[in-house]
Amino acid sequence: MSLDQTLGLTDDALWDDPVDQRSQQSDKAAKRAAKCANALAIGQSRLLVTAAVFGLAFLAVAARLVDVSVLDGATEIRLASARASGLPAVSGRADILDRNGTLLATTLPSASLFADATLVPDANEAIESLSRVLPDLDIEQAQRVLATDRRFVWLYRDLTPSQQHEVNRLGIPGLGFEEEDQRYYPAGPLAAHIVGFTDVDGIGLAGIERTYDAMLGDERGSVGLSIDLRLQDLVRDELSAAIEQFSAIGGVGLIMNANTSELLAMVSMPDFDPYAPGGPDDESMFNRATLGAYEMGSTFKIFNTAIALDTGTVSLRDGFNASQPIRIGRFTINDFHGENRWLSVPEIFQHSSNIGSARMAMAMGTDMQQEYMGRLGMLTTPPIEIGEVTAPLVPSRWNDVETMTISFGHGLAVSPIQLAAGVAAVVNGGIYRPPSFAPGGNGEETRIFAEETSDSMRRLLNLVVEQGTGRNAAAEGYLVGGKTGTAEKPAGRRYSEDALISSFIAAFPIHSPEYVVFIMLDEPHGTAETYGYATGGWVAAPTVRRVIERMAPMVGMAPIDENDPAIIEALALSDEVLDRRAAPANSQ
Amino acid sequence: MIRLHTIIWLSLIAVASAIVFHVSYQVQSLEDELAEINRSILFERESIQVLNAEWAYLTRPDRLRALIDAHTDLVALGPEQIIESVWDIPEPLPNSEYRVAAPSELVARNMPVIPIPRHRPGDTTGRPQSVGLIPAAASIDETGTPLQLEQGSAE
Repeated sequence: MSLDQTLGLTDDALWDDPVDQRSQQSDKAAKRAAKCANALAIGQSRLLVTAAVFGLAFLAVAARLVDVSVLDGATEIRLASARASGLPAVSGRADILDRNGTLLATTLPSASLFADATLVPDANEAIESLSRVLPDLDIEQAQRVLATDRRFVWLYRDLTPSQQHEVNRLGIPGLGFEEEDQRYYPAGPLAAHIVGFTDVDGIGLAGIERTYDAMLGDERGSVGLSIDLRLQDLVRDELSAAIEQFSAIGGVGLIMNANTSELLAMVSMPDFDPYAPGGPDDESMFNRATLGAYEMGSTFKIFNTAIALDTGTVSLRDGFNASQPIRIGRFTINDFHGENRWLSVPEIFQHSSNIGSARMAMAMGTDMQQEYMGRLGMLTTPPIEIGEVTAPLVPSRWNDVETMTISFGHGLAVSPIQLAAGVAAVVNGGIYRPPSFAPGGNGEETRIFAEETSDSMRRLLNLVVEQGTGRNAAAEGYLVGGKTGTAEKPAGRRYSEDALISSFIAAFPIHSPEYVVFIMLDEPHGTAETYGYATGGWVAAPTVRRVIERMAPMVGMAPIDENDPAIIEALALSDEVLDRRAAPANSQ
Repeated sequence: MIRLHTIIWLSLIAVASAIVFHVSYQVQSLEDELAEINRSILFERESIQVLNAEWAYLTRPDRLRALIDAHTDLVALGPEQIIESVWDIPEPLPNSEYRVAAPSELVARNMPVIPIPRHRPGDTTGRPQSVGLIPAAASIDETGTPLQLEQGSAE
C-alpha cells in the first residue's frame, strides 16, 4: 500500500505539466498506466526478493535454533560436565602406596602461621591464647619477634588443619597463614630406603620419589609398589633384634616372591628418618640391600652346584676329594667345617666345602661359570626401580684362581637383591627374573636352568636345613630350604678374620617355592648362646626362621605336613634323582 | 483483527521473555550451587586425604604391635593354630556341650557350618574349651531346632 502511494507521488509530478492538457490526455493516461504497471512489477519483484532474503535469514536462525537446542544437545552436557570435573587438584604430589594400598607417602596441605608485628594489638595476650592452641609454641621466641616492628614474622610452621581452625577461632588480628604442601610419610623410617624423600620444594631426591618424580609431580599418577608394609615391619623388627643381639653394625632383610622376583620387603639397617635425612656421608643413608656390593660367601655354592648340575659336569652321585687344602699361587683354599675326605656333591653342598666347590668349578671351567653368572644377572647392574644401586664388583682377570674363589663366593661382590633374584631362579624351576618393586615383577624372564636342575637344587637346599649347616632355619610346618653364607670382609689387601658378612638365604615351601627370604648381618659378634660363633648358620638362620614363622600366616600360607608321602617324595634324594645327569648339550 | 494479532504477539513476547529470565536466573542459581558443591567436594577430598594419612599413621605396624603387646594377650599365630579346611577339624568329643552328630556328614551334605573357635593361647578368661561345629543358620529348621544337633549325651 505504501508502495502504491510512493508511486502515486512520483506520478503527481506529471500533473504539474500545463502544456496541452486535452490532446495529451489519453497519451498521458496510457503512459501513466504503462509506467504504473512497470513500477508495480519492479516493486513486486523487489518485495519478493526482500521477503525471500528475510525468509531465508529467519529460516537460518530457526534452523540454528533447532540445531542448538535439539540436535546438538550433547555439547551442553559436555560443556557442563567439563566445568564440573574441572575441579582443582587437591594438593600437589601424588601418593606412593604399598601392595595393599597402605599409604607410604602422601601430600597434605599445611599452613604456617605468620604475624604482622605492627598489627597485633596485645602481644602478650595473643601469645597466651596461641600457646593454649599450640602447646609447643616457643613463647620466648614469639615474644621477641612480636616486640619488633617487622611486618612479617614466622610464629609457627606446619599447623595441622585442626590447629589452623583453632587459631582462626581465636580471631587475633594481625595473624595470617601461608599455605604450603608438605610431603608426609606415615610409616616413618620403615620404608625410607625404598620410598626415599623429597626436598622442601617437593622434588624427589632419593628412592622411588626420585625415580618416579615426573609421574608423581606432574601427571599426578600414584605409584603402587610390590612392598607389603606388614612384612616390611616384620623383617625390620626381627633384623633389628638380631643386630642388637649380635652387636652388628648393620644388616639387610629381604622377602622376594620366588616366581616374579618382586620384593615384598626390603630392609637395610640402620635406616633414617625421611623427615630429616642425613647427608650423603651418613651411614644410615647407605642402602646395603641395593647399594652395597658384598662377597657373599657360601651362598654362591647354590649357583656353583646348579651350574655344575645343569651343564652335566656332575651328577649327584659324583664327588671330589676334599681331604687336602688346595694351594694355588699365594692362596690356600681350606674348609671351615673340614671333613677331610672324599665328598659327594650333596655332601659338598650340605657341609659347605670350599675345597669341593673349587674342584667342581674347575671341572665345569671358567667360561661356563662366567656365562652362567652373566645370565643370572651377577655381572651387570640390576634394573631395580631406585637409583641407589651398585654395579657388581667383577674381577678384572677371571682365571683359575678367580673361578675357584667365586665358586664359594669370594672375588665377585654382588648386592643382596642380585643374590636373591639369582636364588629365586635356581629354585623356581630355572627362570631368572630381575628384582623389581613393580607389583607382579618387571616382566622380563630368561630360562637359565633346566626344570630338573632346579628340582635337584631344591632337594639339596632342603638337605642343608634338615641335616646341614642351616638347621637353625627350620621353621616347623613351612619346609624351609636354604644355604648359609659367611664371608670375611676385605680389609685392605687381606681378609679380616673378625669382620664377617654372615647371611642366610632361604626359599619356602621348598618343594614348590613361593618366597625367598634373605637375612644378612654386617660384622656380627658371637654370643654365649651361639658359642661365640658369628657365622650365617648361627646368627642369620634363626632370624630367617622367625621371619618365615611370622610371615606365613600373613601371606595366607597353611602349614604343610612334612610327613605327607607326596612331600617326602618331592624332597628325597632318591636313586632316580641321584642318577640324573643333564646332557652336556648346554656347553658351547 | 490487527489488534487481536498484536495482543497475541505481545503476550507471546511477554511469556517468552519471562521464560528466558526465569531460565537464566535458574542457571545462575544452579551455577552458584555447583560452585558451592565443587568447593565442598574439594574440602571433603582434602579431609579424606588428611584422614587417610592419619589412618595410615595410626595403623602403622610398629604402633599396632606396641598396642597389642600392651593391651592384649595375643601372640603370633603358630602353625599348629591354623586349620586349612573344615575336614582338618577333629571329630567332637562324645560329651561336649555343642555336639553335631557327625560334622563330616554335615559337610558331606553341603550343610553350612561354622567352626567353633578353639581355645586361644594366652586366653586367661577361663572359657571352657569347646570342640566341634555349630550348624549355621541355614541348617536350622523353622521351629528353631538345629538339624542334626544332639545334646551331648555320654552313653
